[in-house]
Amino acid sequence: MSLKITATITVLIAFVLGLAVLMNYAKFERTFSNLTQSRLAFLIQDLRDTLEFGLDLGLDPAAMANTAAILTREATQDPHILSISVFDDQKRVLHQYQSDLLKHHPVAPLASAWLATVLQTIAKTPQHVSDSETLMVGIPLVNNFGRTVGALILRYDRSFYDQELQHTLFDLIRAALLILVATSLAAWLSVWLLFRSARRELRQVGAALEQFLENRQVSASPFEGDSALKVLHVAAEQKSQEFQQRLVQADRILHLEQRLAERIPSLPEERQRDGERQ
Amino acid sequence: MTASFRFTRLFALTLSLIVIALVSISFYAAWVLERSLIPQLDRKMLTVGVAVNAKLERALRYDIPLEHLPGVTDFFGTVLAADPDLAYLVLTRHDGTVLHQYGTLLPRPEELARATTAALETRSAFQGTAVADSIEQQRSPQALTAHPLGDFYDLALPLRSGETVLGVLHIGANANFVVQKIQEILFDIAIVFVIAILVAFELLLLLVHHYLVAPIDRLETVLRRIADGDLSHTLPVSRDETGWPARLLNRLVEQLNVAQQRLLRQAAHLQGVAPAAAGRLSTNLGSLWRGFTLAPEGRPVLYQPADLFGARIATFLFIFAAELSQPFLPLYARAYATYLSNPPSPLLVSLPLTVFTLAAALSMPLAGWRCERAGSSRTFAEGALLMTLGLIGAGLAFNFYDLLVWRALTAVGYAFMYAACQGYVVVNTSPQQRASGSALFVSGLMAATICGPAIGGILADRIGYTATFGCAAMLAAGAGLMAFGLLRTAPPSTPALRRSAHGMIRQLAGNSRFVLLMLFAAIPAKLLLNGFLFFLVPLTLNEFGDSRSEIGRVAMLYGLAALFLGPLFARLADRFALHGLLVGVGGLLAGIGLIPVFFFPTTTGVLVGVLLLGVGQAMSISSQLALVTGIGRSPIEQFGSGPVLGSYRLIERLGGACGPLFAAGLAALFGYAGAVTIIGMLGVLTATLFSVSFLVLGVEPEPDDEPPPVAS
Repeated sequence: MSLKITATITVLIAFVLGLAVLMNYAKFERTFSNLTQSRLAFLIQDLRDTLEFGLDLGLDPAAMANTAAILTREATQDPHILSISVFDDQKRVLHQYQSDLLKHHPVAPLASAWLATVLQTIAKTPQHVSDSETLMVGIPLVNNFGRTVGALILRYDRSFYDQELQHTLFDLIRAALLILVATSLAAWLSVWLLFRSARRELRQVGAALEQFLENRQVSASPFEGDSALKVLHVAAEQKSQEFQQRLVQADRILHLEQRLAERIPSLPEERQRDGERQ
Repeated sequence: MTASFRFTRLFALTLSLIVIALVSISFYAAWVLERSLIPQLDRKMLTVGVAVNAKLERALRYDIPLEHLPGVTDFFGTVLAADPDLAYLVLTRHDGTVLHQYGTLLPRPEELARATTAALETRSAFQGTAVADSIEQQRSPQALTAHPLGDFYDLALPLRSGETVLGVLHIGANANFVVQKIQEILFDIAIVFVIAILVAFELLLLLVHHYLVAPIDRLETVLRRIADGDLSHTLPVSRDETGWPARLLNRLVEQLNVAQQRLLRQAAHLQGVAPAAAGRLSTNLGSLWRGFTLAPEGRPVLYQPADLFGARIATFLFIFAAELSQPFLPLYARAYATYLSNPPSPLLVSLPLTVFTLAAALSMPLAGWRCERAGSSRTFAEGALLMTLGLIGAGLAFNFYDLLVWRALTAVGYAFMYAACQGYVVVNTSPQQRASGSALFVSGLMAATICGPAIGGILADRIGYTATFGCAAMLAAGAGLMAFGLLRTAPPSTPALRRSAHGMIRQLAGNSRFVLLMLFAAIPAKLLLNGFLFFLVPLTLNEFGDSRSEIGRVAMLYGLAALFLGPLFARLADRFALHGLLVGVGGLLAGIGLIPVFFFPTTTGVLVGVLLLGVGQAMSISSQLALVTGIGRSPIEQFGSGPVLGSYRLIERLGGACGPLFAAGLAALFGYAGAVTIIGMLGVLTATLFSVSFLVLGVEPEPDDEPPPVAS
């Protein structure tokens, strides 16, 4: 019983902890993702402003010589930036910064369809997308005549992002498990203490019954107490004893009747023999 | 120590442990989130700071004095407007004097002055240690990190013109950034706590009853019977602490019965040999056995009374499973309906809900028939199987029509499970115990209507619709498995004597009070429930931008009001004979609560509507049942309460099935908020008509009102 109740409490606490971990993790994931996305969005918007300043001066995007330096300077702010690329409206790369990480772990090329989406977008806000390796932020470059002349795409190392999420989830699950173990132990101990008297009472009733069954002549109730169970047990034992005594009496009567019955058929023969003698 | 005292202490213990677990995990989560999010916030502040700094330095290259840089505050405002995570941007002179600032909340000037001095001293220290004083190094995250500053995290970036530092740019974020994020989920955590309390109450009640109270009750009953000389019963032997005494007691009873049977066999043998002796023996034995009841043929019967708490937990589990999808079902249906027409009409969106309520209403008679034939346990298990399949299918539906089929299957399962639980209570209670038995059943149902929507909303928000349907299917399957153990003691009831339903329907249709009660109270109540709570609330709140968790939280208020106020109003109605009044006032209250939604289309408006619907229906539902039994006294006497109440339930449910369709029709014409208001007005109108009718007719029929009994 204690184990079943403890198991139920443990399941309940596990349910509560599971939901709490789920909610905290979901909040963390959303906040972390928002922080990362808004940072990258700010960075790319700042770059866009710088590049569009050149476009406003009438420069051709391909001819803006300092673009590579600007990209490198911005990219050094965060070692997890894998690449920043400036594309023209024909999806050709004009300028590009590439992190050294790409030399060791090359990533899949940029999806052409998404680049087309970025080039076609009218919104001034950056577009976000992700694949299995990178988070991508893209924004179109628009000249002062309102024409899209290219796009700026930033790719960010997803492994860092995923590691942070996994690490946090692992920490939360580990803590939840520890709390679960601690509370389960506390539950087990408390339930054991809470039901100790009921268990003892049942054990005493059981022991008294066993003793009664083993030796029916021994008087019942070798324990003290006045709980309903004990009182009823004493009464039941007394009644059982009474019935046993009646069984014994019944057995005696039966044997007597059996003996009598055995003797009755021989009585007429004896009488006949006696008559013959006389 | 009594069982109820033990239960109270066990419940208190469980609550304490849940609170400890929740508080511990919340504090730990706050710490973990702070540890992981603050560096990200730092990086963001640095990115923003470096970009803003670069723009300011560009301006300074034109030799404009820092104090006279134009439009700096507006520029700061533009930057902050795009980024709600940041609290302020402040530009100070190198002596700490504030020159330009923008932010909803700002640190005190002396704090900023101190931070400025600290930032410049750090820079000097860099120079002193001969670290290359390149801007890149100073801008690297290792060199520049935010520091606590009063209620903020402050990142200070030196602003230079050439080699001279002219000022410091401060970028600030709220120090309670992480705490605020945690606070955003506190409401959800509180909901989880409330639900954990309800689930704990249900499960612990069952466990304590099933494993302690019931076995000890059984043990005491059999001991009492033995003490009274009744040796005809044995006990079920469990594998826990009660098992050992039960086994020993069974041994005692069996031994005594066996001994008596042996004697009787020997006596029977004597009957053939010496009838006169056997006759004497029989008389003697008869007097010896006097005062004792032995088992017929020496085979004691197992004493296992029905466990109504089993029906309660079974009800709780399957209603929980069914209600999990309640806060998002219209949204889910709308997503499928979009493939048929974009935007989908509200009528199309309402179809899965209508199909569910209609299928449940129409399959109730079949479920009742099945329950009579196969028993509660089997019917419940069959219902659980159907519901599990229906929920899995609904979660993985290929298209809208597919979804309709799965919802219908779920509804049939629901009807089977409902009929099984209700049948179990009816079969295993005497007429005197039936009200308390029904109260147990209804409490389980109400507790589940609170837990289901709230948890369903949270789950749908976090793990998606399909996984939430999966969880509901697991719950339904679990309920089915548990039912084998919990409802199995119910024997299949003897099929009731069938009487002509035609006569009953004619008699009910001829009873004007019954018709008025159905038209102006019972049907509108279900129409409001299904049309407003199950259909319009999710869609309206979704239109207001509320998440599924929030929809679930609002929907659970109905169950909360009904659970806590229902018994109170029922007692009041019984005590002061206020049934008619409470049905009228309850209907009015439920309707009035919905009317303001069109004029105040906010979440709070809907919330008030749901709350008043809960209060109103808590007033009217139990009183409606009492009115039906009062008004339908004559047909009940003639046909029995089962068929009459069954007809009432069927009419009510059919009204409920119209709810979503009716609400959808109104929503197509007046929008969701408009539909809520019109449904509310309809509720007020029907409640008024009910009140007026019953004021004129009276609740109790006059003797001359009674129609002549219909020959069946």
